[in-house]
Amino acid sequence: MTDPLQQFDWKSSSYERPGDAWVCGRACAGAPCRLGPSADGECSVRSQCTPEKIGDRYRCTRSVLYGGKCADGPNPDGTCCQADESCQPAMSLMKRRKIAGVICASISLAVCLILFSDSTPLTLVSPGKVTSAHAALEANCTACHVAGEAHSGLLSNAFLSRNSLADSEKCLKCHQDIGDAPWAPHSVAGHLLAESTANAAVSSNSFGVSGKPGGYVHSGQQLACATCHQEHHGRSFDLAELSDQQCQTCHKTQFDDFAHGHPEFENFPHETRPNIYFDHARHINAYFAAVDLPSQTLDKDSLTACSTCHQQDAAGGMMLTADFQHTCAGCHESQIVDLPFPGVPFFAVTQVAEDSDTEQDEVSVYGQWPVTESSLRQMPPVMSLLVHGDTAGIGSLSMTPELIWQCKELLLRVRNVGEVALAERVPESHSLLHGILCELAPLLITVSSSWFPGLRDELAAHTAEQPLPNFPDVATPEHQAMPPVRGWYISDGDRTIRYRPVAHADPVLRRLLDYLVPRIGQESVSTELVELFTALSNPSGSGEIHRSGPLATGRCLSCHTTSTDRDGTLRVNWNTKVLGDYFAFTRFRHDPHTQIDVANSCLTCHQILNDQQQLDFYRPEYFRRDDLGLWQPQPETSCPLTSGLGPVKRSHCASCHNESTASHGCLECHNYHVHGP
Amino acid sequence: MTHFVRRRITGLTLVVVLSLLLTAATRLMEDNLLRPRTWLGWVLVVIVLFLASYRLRKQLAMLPLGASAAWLQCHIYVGLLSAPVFLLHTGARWPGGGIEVVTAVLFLTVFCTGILGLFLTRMIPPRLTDRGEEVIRERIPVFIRILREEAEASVAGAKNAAPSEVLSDVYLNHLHSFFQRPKNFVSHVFHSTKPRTALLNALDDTRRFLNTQHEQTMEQLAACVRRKDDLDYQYAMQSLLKYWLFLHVPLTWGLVVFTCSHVVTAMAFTSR
Repeated sequence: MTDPLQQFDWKSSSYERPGDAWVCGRACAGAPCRLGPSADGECSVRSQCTPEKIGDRYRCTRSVLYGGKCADGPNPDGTCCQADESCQPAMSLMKRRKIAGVICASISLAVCLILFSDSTPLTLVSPGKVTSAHAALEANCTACHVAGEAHSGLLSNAFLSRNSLADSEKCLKCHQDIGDAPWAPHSVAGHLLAESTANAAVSSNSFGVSGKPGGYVHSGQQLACATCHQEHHGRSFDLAELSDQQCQTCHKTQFDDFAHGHPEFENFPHETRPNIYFDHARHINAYFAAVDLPSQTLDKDSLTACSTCHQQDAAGGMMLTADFQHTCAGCHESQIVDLPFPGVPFFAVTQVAEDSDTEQDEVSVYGQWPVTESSLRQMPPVMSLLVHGDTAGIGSLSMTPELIWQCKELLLRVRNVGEVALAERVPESHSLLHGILCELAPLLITVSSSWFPGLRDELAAHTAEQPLPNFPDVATPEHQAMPPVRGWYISDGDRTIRYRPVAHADPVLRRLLDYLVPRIGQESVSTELVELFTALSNPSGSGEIHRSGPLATGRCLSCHTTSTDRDGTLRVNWNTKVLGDYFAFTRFRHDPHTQIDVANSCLTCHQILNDQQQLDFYRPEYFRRDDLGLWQPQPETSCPLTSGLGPVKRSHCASCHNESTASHGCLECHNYHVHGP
Repeated sequence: MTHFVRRRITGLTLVVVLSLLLTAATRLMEDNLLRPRTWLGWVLVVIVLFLASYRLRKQLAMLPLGASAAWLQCHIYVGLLSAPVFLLHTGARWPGGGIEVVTAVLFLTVFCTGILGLFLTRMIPPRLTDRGEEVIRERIPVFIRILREEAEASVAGAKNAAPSEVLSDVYLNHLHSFFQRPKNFVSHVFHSTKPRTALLNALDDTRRFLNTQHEQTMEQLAACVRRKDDLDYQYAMQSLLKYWLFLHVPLTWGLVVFTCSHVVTAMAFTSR
């Protein structure tokens, strides 16, 4: 047993201070002095002294702390006789570690200051590569970041300013098709989205939207682009990635996946309001099967083939409907052009109302007014508009002597200044009528000369309150037959100016309906407009107001549905598909799906409803009867229209879109940004 | 179950539970479009600053900031918690930007050196107890000098014995440099006794050239060699306990600086 090396008695064990900055220079040799270096790193050993000269002799001045006066004393020249035993203290481990820390922090700080200096390009602080679509912008931080516009503003941008959407505004410089409310949920204005949600909520299986304060729709909170689109994660990073759970941030009706819990397609597509009234089941089962099919362009076999009317667009995503001439015209064109319809009256010399106060001689009261036996009893609505000069009608279309003079003044002014006289009678907002009035003006000039040869003199006498001059009566043709012309014509038999539709997509009727339809249903709508709309929209095709006639499907609103725009305006759907701005929450590409079962690709999903009991043309979802018993198109856009196709079954979709194919996420079929076709 | 075992189980359980809670919170925030990365970044900043402040706590011993041992325990387990927070913050993706890469490298280095230090502080003390005399590291050079002087005195000859040339040669050839300073650092780190065995074998090889008196001297020399080797082991192990801090502490300050830079750039350029 050897003696221990380390002693801990108070004499032989000094107190170690590893936290000191300096250690004795002789410590590594195993012979440190007991004093140790000072805090400044100086050796505390003072073996030498500075001898003091007293008279002619030198005396040792060494302190007792360092050994006291030495026996030999100073040298004769006054220097100390002792050797210098001081050492060079060394840095302790603690001190070296501190220096290493300072060096490391200093290098880091220097690197960061260099990175943030004005002369260093900001791309060096880029947190990573952007996606390949944005790669061209990578060298220009200011293209996407407000903070990149000035180095000096980094700190203020980091902690003081909170311009949350400033960067997102830069996104919109390129992504301009994102909609009018780019930072609202689905880029749709809150009230529109709430409305859409309310409509969807009608169905019991619809997706619910959170009503809690955190719901973005209800809180009105705006979502910056970077909320979902996180850049600087590499060239191939999917910026549009959105998990199903993130969709359910707002959509609280949660379900496992598409195959388990997704709402059924109850209303699609058979109850989706189409732009054209077309019942597939009725056409295929009843009309196309008829022996005396009147189609002149299509045979029976091709009629039943879906591809006869529907073809994929160039991109293969959308199934388009062929135009009228290649589809409906074969059967329905004759119902438009051959209709025994005398045309829409725009001007007429109508019979004077019997209850008007005209006990005097009629000619002396209102002058020349060449009515015939077949003259209309009421003014045409457009004529009433022009005579009254206001859309707010008088509530009656009856002709009175006062109105006759106003009518004559209008005719004279048209003769003098042309269509300007008509345009100034309707407000600027009714610009859709102006085109029609321009076509009407020459005919009015013609009839003002032929029907009213003394018009100018009559009006001069009437203005001067002098007796009216006498003019010979205007000759009336004996035989009144349907004129063979189409378009504008003057009917001398009943003293009217009429317009007969030329063909399908007649421009005058289209403009007239575009003008009328938005105004129907408004409180301020005039009686004239209601009457005109009734005449034009009456699917009976009589052509006469308040008269029913033979059945005809060729009238405009018999086939073209009406829809309500976002601003509540009613409009006619002239095209088969809506290609404008609408909420495309769902997307579907036909082309990959039609490859699955080529022979029956369409009918696999779109099954014809063969069990429909109601086969009348005037189905309640298409038309309704008004108080007078006349058929009116169903203007209520919430009213579903049957296309004769059964609903697409979700289970059928789920046979492919399921967990095994990993193609059953929300974004597989749904768009977040819903703008665009 | 000892107190230490119970403490470790409690601490590790806390770390695991907190990690799971943070993971669940992150998932929940992601599902609610609430930007958990930013939130986790701030959590990580707080963690880094708290861990870095442990050194300040040791320097401000005069302040009543709690026991240093308690701070050490917090330092260890919060440091362990920082790893899952870091993974959640980065999304387990390697960053692409310059500042982010340097910050990540510094963080991982500091974390790994911390784990290394934790391992060393748990592994070395029992071994120090097991081998040789436990001595204070700063005194080891002194003890080496004492052993050197003892060995040289043995070789120089006892009072009534003539010095041996064989012993002198052995000392000069094999032991002189051995007794000058701590030796065989790397071998001791890996617990290798090969140098020690080789040296003692060299002494044994010369034994047949010695007489009985000098054999006793050789025994004394061998004893000195064993004690010196034990001192070297103590020195190597205790040095390890100090040297790992040369990576852990300085890089921490670099990490703090780069973390601040990352915070500034991230907050400035993040669209909130």
